[in-house]
Amino acid sequence: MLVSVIIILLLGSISYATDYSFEIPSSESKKEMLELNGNLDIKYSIFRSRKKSPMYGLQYYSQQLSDILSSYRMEFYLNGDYQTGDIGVHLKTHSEYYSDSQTDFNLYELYGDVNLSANSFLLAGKKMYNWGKGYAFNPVGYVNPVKDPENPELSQTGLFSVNYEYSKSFQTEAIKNMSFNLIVIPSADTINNKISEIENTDIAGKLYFLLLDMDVDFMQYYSKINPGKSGVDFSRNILPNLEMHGEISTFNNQPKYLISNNALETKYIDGISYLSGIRWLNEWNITTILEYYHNDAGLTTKEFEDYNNFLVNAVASGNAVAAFNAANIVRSNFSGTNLMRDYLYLKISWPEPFNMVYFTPSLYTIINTNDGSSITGVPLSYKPVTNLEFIIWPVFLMGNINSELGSKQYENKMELWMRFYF
Amino acid sequence: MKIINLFLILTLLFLLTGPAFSRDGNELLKRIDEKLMPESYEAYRKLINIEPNGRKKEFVVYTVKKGKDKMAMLFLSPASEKGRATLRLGENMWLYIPNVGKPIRITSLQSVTGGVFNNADIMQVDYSAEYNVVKLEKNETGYLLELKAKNKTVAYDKLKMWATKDEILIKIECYSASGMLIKTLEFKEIKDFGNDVVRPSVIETHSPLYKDYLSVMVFSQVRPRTFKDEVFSMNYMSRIEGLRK
Repeated sequence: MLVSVIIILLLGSISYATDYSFEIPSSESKKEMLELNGNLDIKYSIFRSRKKSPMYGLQYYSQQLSDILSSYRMEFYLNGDYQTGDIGVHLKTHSEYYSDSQTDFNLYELYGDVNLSANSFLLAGKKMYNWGKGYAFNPVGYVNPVKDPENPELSQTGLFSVNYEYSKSFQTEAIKNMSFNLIVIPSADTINNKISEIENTDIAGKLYFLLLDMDVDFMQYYSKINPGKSGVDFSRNILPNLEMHGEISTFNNQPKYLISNNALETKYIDGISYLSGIRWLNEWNITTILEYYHNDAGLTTKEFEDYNNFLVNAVASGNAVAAFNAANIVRSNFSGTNLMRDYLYLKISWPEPFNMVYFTPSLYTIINTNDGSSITGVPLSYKPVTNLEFIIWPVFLMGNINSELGSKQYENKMELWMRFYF
Repeated sequence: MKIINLFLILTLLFLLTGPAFSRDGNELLKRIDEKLMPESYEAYRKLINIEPNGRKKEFVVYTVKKGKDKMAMLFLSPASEKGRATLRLGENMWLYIPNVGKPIRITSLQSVTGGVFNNADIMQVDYSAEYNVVKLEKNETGYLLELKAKNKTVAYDKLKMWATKDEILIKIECYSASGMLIKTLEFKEIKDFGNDVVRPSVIETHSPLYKDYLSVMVFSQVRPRTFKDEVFSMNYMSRIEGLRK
């Protein structure tokens, strides 16, 4: 009996030890190698159409479709990193497949970087930047891709640029770190898609301090052909579980697109844009993000009504050319996700509620406070095993037919994702 | 007069022995910190969350630390977490997610891995940087220290800490300000990592708040190494991989 117990204990201790040993990925004798990773998303979406919507009328002009539409697609994110000492080459790609005749490839990032010294760093190529402290909106995101407030953590396309960075740490209580970023952006206004005029090169600068336990950035964007902008942002934990952040930006000669007398009009305005927000973690491990965003360059309620009427008239005209032109104007000048001036954003996320491990329900809502319309989503994420994730994501758009979000082509949608990481 | 003299003597004794005790306790805590980890080091760790049904979730991380309160950590696996990085500078903590492309502030109470460990456990800096010793007991087997957080931003208000006579940490109980036991950390399997680093290689934690769940931290390599201060800055978070040799 005693011998059996000892054997069991020994076996137990052996398996215990085995459990705790592990291999280090690309271990200690790390050689120069290309590491690939990414994810494959399989997405099925169901949409309930809002047939009265002018956007619906333009998108599916003169087509008789069912009330419920669906889409099935694959998205493949492939990332590659090659690192040797102080030099690295990095790649991020995105491919989207609907059918053999509808496949898109996007080069999100491709850049090389080098640590010039302990303090300075140089990067050249196409890189995604993310300036600003806001979660859903970034008034100071001068070099950022256009963010989707519904999914701010989505990987997006970068900016073809050169970035020099200098950073310095201090042994003082007041300032612990500072850094300076200088980004040079060749003009996107090219001749034959290859050559641009040197004076049209844009320059963006950011100065960062960790000042009295607060992150503070000062930004400047200089351009001869694009609007000049200056801004500041901050982020600080005002309580151990409560973070506060804000951004403010001023701009000059920002183009503002309007519909006046049923035609496109461009005004150049000076103004400000700002955001204030909090991130709060409560005792239930629920994270709440609340943000308010204002943009002087956004449309007023009256201006949005004029824009919406323009779309209604284009559809009602029965003229395919007018509808095509209106769709082009929408695509070129009104394609942003937040066209108006004031928005409230709320996101509540609760990882593993009631001990339901690997399950994370979230709820977010974006309210256009100018016209009262809103979009609400409830993404439910479940990661049953390592490197596999299921997401069920219902979305509801509410508001009257003349409002920004109530005039979208869908009343609600349901997305089902299967995500494989590798 | 005798009473006054006695009072003066007792006051004097208290004034002399109070700081001396406190100094002894805090000196001991510093030595326990030093035995636990070199002041500046790099390490590989595995974090394992074990569910009541035996299922596991595992993360492998690369960690670098400098001084008393600077620490950065990079997730190496699983693939879904690879490239994520966390940074701690004193009470400031940030999380970098590659897709997001910028660090966001997080708190010591959150958990980037789920399970019983929170960020304060995973990104633990020197105990002497965050706590003062308020009570010290010595017995035949070793020491029992009672610690009080230096300020309210520290994850646990009070700790009870057990150490061997050799001043090697064996157990910590973490308490909230109200005196509720939040979790217990047990330091096990002492291992010689080389370079005079001899420390527990396994930390197990369980909590009455997560009944029947167990989280384990396993140290694989711990090496003294010095880093530039600039490594512990927000801009460097996306480049920690370059430190691995």
